[in-house]
Amino acid sequence: MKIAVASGKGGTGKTSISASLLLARPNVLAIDLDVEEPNLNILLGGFEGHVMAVTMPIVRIEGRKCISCGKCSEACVYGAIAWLGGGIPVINESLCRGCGLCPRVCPPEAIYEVDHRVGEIRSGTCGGISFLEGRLQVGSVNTVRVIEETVKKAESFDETDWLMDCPPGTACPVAASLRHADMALLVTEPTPFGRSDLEGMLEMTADMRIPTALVINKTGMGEVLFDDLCRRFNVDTLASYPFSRSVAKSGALGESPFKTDAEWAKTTRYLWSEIERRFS
Amino acid sequence: MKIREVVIISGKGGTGKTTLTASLASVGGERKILADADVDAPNLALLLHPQETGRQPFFGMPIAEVDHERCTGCGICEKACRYNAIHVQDRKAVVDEGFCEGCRVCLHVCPEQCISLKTIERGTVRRGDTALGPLWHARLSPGGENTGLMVALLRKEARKEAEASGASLLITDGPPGIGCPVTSSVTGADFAVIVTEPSRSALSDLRRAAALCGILAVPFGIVINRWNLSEELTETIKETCGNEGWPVLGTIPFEEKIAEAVGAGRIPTEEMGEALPELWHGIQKTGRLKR
Repeated sequence: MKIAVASGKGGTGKTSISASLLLARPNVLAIDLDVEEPNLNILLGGFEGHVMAVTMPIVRIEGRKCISCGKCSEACVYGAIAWLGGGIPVINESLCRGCGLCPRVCPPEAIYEVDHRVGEIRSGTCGGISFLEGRLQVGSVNTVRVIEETVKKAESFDETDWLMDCPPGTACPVAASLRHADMALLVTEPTPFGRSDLEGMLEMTADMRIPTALVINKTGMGEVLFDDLCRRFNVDTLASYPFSRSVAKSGALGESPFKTDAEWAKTTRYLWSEIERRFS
Repeated sequence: MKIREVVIISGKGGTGKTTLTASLASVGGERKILADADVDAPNLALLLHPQETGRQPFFGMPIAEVDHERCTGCGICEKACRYNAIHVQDRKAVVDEGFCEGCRVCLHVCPEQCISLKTIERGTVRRGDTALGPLWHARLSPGGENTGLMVALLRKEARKEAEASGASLLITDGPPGIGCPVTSSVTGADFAVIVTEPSRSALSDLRRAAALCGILAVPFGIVINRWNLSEELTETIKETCGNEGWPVLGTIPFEEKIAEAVGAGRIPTEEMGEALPELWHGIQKTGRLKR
């Protein structure tokens, strides 16, 4: 089973709960798809393995072949090729999305592609658990590309059970992660912000027809209820983790509460039994 | 008069960007415009309670549409698409609208010429009046593309209003992460405030957010929120900032009464106490927001 852990709002505890679930079932492949801010490694501890580059093609123009027709500039919808009516067009590499259209429209085939690094994949183990992490290069905006390449790499692992720690928000990076999932576990917190962003996530998993369940983290920190959302989207809450300063503190120091807090560990085991009972 | 724009970002989500944005807006006396650039998880309106004065649909880049009458299911478009956004299912090419970036490669390669472009609504941009000034906010349709484009449009509208109304300050609540919408929020701003908290994850994300501001050449400073959750890590963050030459603008404690105010949909101006006006003063000084 491939489980995606998502939340809408950031900081609700996706990574803490992902790490706990993984520590409780070390035979599940850990995949960190929060490629802009990958932190699962911090809570699992001790990455060992190798790093591979994630690249994407961007274009260059071979000046001596260029006939200055301007067709490439006209074709590029991202405005990445400037042409002032004469001479060789100028490519703005930061706007090029590597779509591959301009080489196809160039009559003398003067445009070629080169690999451009947009991030990396870390592949190996973390605290003894099979581990994969996508990491976007700072300054790149190709989040989805790094996610897709990380998932592709995951397919080469022996493990067929995955746990994907997803990015926050409800935009394309989350959709890119969820489309590989058999089920979505949405981690929320009982605050107005948590609830509002959860609603966006529930709309999304309903749209994508992904079986979904909730985990409420930090109960006691707010009084917001989710019953009406559960009814509207026909989802259940599988487990609740209470807010505790000591849990927050051990998590902050990079120590998973699964190792330091007996109640937390018990809730995690219960959560696994509920996931398996309802979704496998 | 030139408008000064300050954007609040964090790297890590959930460090308190939105609460801080609303709180800072409540202490500065100048005329200001507010914008919520976290368009796929917008929450600033939950604290500012705007009276809506206008809304407009948001259209992203036009995307591909296949005429299934004429499609032969040859799969040439699927092979050409670099975004994995078009797949042949039951001998017809189907566009995954959430992934199509509108590049038009498929239109170019289709031997039947049966692919065209269509514009779809990707969300809504709204304007509302609040006690602290006009708020520009937006909601991207779940799963949507073009967050960066939407943020750019939102900021443009907010700046336009600031110019027309003579407001001197634009405060933007940014998204988490370091990707497309963050780059779109930070590019061209006068100053970025990076909100962090004492955790190893937040510190790792702070480094990435600071590096992005460096690449985009936007000056920035750091606020350590909930500093008392780990005094030890707060010291580590301060040391890191000192070593890197990043200005620490101020610290805010974790207090239950702050969380309670936010839980009740109130801006915790009073609950934050003296730390808040001092922080705003620090931001104005370091960010040279005042002339």
